Amino acid sequence: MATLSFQSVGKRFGDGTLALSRVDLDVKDGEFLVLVGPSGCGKSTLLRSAAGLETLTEGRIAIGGRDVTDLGPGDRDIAMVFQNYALYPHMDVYENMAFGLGQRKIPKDIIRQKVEQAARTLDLMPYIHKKPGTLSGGQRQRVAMGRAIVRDPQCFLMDEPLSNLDAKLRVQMRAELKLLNARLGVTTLYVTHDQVEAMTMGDRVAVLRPVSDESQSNLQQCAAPRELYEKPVNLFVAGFIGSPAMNFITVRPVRKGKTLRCTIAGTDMTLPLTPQQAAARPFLDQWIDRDLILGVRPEAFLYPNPTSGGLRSEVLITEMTGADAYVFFELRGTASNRITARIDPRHLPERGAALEIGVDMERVHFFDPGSGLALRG
Amino acid sequence: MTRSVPAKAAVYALMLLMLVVFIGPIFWFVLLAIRPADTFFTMPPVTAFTPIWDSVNYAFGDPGNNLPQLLNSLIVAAGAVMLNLPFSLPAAYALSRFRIKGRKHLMMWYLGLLMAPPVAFLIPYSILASAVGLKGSYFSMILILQTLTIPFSIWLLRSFIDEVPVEIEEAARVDGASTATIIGRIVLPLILPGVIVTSMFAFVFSWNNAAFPLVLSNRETATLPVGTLRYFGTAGVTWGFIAAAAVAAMIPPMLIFLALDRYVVRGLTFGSVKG
Ligand SMILES: Nc1ncnc2c1ncn2[C@@H]1O[C@H](COP(=O)(O)OP(=O)(O)OP(=O)(O)O)[C@@H](O)[C@H]1O
Ligand SMILES: [Mg+2]
Repeated sequence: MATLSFQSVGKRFGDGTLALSRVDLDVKDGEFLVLVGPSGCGKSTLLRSAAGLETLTEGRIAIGGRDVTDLGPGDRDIAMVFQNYALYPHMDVYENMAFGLGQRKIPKDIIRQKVEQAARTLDLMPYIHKKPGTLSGGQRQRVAMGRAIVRDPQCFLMDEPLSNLDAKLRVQMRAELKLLNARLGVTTLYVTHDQVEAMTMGDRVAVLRPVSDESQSNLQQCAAPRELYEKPVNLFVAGFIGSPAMNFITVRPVRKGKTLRCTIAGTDMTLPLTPQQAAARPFLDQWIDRDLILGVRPEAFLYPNPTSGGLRSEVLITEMTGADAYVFFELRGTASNRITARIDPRHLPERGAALEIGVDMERVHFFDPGSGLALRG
Repeated sequence: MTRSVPAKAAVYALMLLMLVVFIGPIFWFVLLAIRPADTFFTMPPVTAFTPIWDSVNYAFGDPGNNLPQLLNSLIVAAGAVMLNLPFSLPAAYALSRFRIKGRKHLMMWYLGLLMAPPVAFLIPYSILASAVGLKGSYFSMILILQTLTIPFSIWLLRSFIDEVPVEIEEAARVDGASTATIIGRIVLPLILPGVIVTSMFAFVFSWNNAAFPLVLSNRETATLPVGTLRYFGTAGVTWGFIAAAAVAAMIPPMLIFLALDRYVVRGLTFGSVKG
């Protein structure tokens, strides 16, 4: 067990593609850290760099305090689980799990002991002499896990290990993996593009984004799931984490006497802040009469509307998921703005009906439209 | 799909015609080896005759000139296969997995070697073989046949290696395996059908090749195709002997294809059957 740390890591591929730049990340001992981000943001490249399957063009990587940047994959004492499992098709389950130990010249009886222990942990004993081709997706996934755990590595690297499973099995394996991690306590770096997986599994979650030049960093924010959700550092993280996504509305704070309110550009709609809400956001004073971006999560709408201001529109469609209902509407005057609001299903309005909906200004986020950075007290 | 009766009849007729065109000459040749000499070229062909074994006996029994040649062919073809794999397998692996500069040109150049007529190489080879004292040896023939077998083996093996997902090799690398271990214990077992098919083609190409042994062999090391051709040089063309030797030359390739046909099918459809 060990820490895994990336120090200003950069990777430019031979064809000129800049995949990684300025990534600084520390996975703590025993931590389950999830890398998440849109396709092409460099998640796999970062993971493969840790495995030694890609060579860095910048920076260093250390495992347990030992610099491994120039070591081959076999010398790093890590185990990797691939998206398509990458099992050895011509070997049975036992041989698949034993192969890595055999390469390390470990005595046969110890190999047997370790493999059988792992197979029992993962419920693989009934299939121990079957070839991967005859196993189901979930079983193959477990063999891939078994191959990783028998080695007692310093850390696990997993690249979307659940994405080839059907939805139900994925949820089940998600819990199993989490349990396994808690039991073994192995440092784990886990890649997914599924934010539900990221939020439910990660002790911390690192959000990555594609970069276009070396001055930028892929790493946007690395924090515990709750912090990531409640305090996103910029527009990208705010828009990426959360489903349905956060709504962004361009507003302009104005002061009228003692009260502070946000007006919606090009309309007479306003969102008033209570004195306490205004006091909690002193930075707004610098933004009086200037555009800034208001971020409202779907659950931060108030309907029916108890506030004196609010948004007025017309219900485009409604969606009923059972426990929740969603209303979709366009914001007049800001043509491109499609808004999603979560409301109590008991108050579900008709499609096409006029809508007046409030915003809980306690729970909104403000962003600098120039830099995209979150503004905080 | 349903077809009308006349259309069906036309398809069968066409198939029959093709069968006659392809199998006919072979069948005629087989008969040539066992029919009496006075019925060789009679028109219309004599179909009813008592088979005689004079030609076969002459070629393989007494004096049996062609019998050692059969063995020579076997030595040369098997030798060509054995020398082929240790070179073409690593080359195919490298061309499949490493981004070598000019990789495309290299592959085209290999294929170009196959296009060139062997006679173009014959004189220089012969002179070279004499110069190093290899002329007449089995080894000279085995070596020269590599100009045929290595290019297409690399080409064929490469397409098989391309089909092996690179993640499997990466997994082995993370497991601590060296490149040699990966080729030997991961890649080779996975492309075994491809290796068998490739070896089979290498054997058959070498077995059938007449041009190289014609120039490079001597009386003791002559192969069966050379022996067959020699009959053309004797006083009067001895069709019965030619046919007997040629039919014998056809048998091993046929047996090989029959024995290994499941590998041919599996080998040639390798990419499409993986789960
Ligand atoms: N071998 C390579 N050669 C050149 N460019 C590459 C190579 N591998 C990846 N890239 C590029 O690097 C960038 C990052 O790729 P990477 O595979 O790390 O993304 P990812 O976040 O894992 O995406 P996904 O969610 O689709 O798996 C992409 O622009 C990709 O096209
Ligand atoms: Mg990826």
